[in-house]
Amino acid sequence: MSDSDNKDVDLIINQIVMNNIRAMKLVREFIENELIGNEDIGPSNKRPRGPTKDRGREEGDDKLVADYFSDNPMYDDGNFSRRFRMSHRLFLRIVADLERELDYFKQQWDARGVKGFSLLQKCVSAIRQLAYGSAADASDEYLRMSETTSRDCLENICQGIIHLYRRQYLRKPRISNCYFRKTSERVSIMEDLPTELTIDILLRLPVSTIIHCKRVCKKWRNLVSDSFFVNLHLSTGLVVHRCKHYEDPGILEWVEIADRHRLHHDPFRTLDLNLVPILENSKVNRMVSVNGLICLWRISPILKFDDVYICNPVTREMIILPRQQQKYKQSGFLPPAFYGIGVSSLTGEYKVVKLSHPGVSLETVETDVYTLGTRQWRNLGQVPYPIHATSGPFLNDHFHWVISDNRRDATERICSFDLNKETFQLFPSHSSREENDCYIQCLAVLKGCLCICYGYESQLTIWVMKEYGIRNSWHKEVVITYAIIRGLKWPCSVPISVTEDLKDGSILLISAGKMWAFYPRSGTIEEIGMLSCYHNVISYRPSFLRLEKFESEIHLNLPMAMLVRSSKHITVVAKVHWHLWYLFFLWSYVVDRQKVQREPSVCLSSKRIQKTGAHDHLLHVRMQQVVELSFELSFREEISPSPVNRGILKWMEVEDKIDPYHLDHDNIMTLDLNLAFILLNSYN
Amino acid sequence: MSKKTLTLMSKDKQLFNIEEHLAVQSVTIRNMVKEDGASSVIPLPRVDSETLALVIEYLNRQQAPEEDEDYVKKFVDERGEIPTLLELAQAALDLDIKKLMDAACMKVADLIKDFTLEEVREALRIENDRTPEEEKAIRDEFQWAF
Repeated sequence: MSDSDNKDVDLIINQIVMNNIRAMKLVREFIENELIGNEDIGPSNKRPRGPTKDRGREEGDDKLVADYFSDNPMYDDGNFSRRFRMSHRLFLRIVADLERELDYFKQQWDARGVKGFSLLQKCVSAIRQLAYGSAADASDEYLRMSETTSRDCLENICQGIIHLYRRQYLRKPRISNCYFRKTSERVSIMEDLPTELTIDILLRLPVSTIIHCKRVCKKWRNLVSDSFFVNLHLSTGLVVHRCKHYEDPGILEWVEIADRHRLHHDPFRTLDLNLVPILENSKVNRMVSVNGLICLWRISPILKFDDVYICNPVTREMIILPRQQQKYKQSGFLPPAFYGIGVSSLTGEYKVVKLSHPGVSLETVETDVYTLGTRQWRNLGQVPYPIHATSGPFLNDHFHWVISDNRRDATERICSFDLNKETFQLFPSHSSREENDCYIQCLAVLKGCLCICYGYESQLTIWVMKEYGIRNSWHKEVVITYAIIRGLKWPCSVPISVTEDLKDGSILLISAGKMWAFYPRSGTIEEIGMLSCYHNVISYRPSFLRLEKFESEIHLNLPMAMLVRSSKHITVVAKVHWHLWYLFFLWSYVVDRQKVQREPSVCLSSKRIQKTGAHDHLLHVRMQQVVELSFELSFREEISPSPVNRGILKWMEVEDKIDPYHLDHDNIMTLDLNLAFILLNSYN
Repeated sequence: MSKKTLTLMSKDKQLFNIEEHLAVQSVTIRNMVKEDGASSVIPLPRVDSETLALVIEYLNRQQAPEEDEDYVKKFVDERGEIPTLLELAQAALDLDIKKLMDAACMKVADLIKDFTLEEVREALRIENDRTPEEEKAIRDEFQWAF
């Protein structure tokens, strides 16, 4: 064993038995004598291995679980802390970390199919040796573990802890950890800091960190007010609405655009609409966003009304707007209505604007307006200009639409709706004639300016209005020829739904289920993300705006989809309704600085278990394959109600919805609930 | 014409010389030079000499414009300690050097991004002035993030 390893072992021991110097001495002696001594002997001097005794590990494990780790343990936390020299919680945390990171601690089976020592047995054995400084075979009778195995455990746990916690807990104090670095009079460096600088720093943090920061001190909490992001547009992002199929409400995922090559996915930033009972088995069609609020709607052709929802994924709030009966009785399919959400800069009112076709014909468009908090739709009659009912981009208190007038002599091509006056008017468009031959035209907001995209047969041009409302400021910003997109046909028939600027000046284009970033400087284009045809993307800026203040609205309950966060691992719990069962899924994410990966683990719990209440009944399962977060799971359970033995859960992955009574038994996976329950205690 | 030199004075009365055409990257200094020609020493009462030395090192950089971004990034990366960065950011704010301030703030944000609450308090040396009840209220409000 090298010197540095020795040091690390010392450090660990110091950490664990800090408060007991005598034990520490014993342990050190033990390690020096036993571990290092052993290595000197070498393999050639080993005695021949004696016959293996069947010690009955499983009974040992059962006993251990009953003593310390069951719901009603024989020995309470006080006993535990004394015997293990650490709290129950800390122990379980270490155990969970070890199991996740090190193969040695994973449950193993031997060639006969007999279970090896459980994770807990291994850890208890090692910690006991450290805590009491006892000999390796002292707990043989209790844990049913031989001397050699105990020693193995000890060695592995030491190395495991070095491996796991070296960076965080075993490192030397950094300069920034030292309380007084330069001058002793300087105690709080943040206190002297100008407020604007603090805000500048906070703004650069991800939303989840800002929420943590609200707890740091009162000054920070006051800084992070409801409108924190609204007026400071630094945090640019997108919301991706992912659906698996037509009837899936889907998942809202907010994505931060970190830099040109990656979209920053973060499991914190998802809102699973499957969890909203009212949205069950229904498709959310479209969405628009302003100031961190997302307006979602669902078209129900049969019911003759739309459901409109407004949610803020940051505060986890959602309201449903009152339904509006269609005034015109129609048979058959009704052309869909489109909504837009905007905020008045004068009054601060949030308004939803609805554009719909009163008849089957697409020629006439009607407008309705809803002010949040009033519980009343107001009809504004027909739109005086020929436009298609779409969600026009919102900018400067106005919504904008392209006038669908095919006459060549038409001068104005854009009309706008003033959110304050609630009137339509023509909007200065640029006087270029070239747009007459284009296939598509659509409006968007680019770099805080209104822009219009023209799609031609061979290229796409984007005109930007540099100064809002000034006709002469229209400026041809970008020309993208389709030739630069290798191997891809530009879908010139499909409108580009979003264009948003990234920090490096590139432009994001979304069309036909693909996302591209165009770099004007180099004139290149790059595909940066796959979307499916059921996916929908809008640009989004998060805010802490609370829907709570619209008291009169009907608030929907958004269940938690997130439970636990440790520094590196995130555990997600979601409830999914499947057949008669409620399945609890638990995903573990490993959050690296760069990326987030879902660990191949899933957690299940049946409705029956759920009724007993707490989340600690969630089960933790490790699977060979990544299981998609969907209904593609089927399971049967065999639970015996004894407090010690919780039985085994069996389930299998299935491709599609199948008959649960005709399962392919070769694919059934099993889970030992005893182990799972123990692990879950560590999440409390 | 020979290059004009300006003298900056830090909080602890140390003097630093810098050529005028470099110093005017700071908007504050530029305005001062415009107003009175800056014949005398420019006092910077909130910047200590250690930080000012860093700022001057930054202002003296000889980088091509296209490499500038990378240079600023590297410059703050090398000074990866939060107190230094904060002082640098503060100095950059006072002197109105936007690039340096942005980079320093970004670096601080990057550093504290993955910190736990206690680590943030410790790193920035903020006293916890909240009662447990208040903390719990925020926890309940944003349960999904904890």
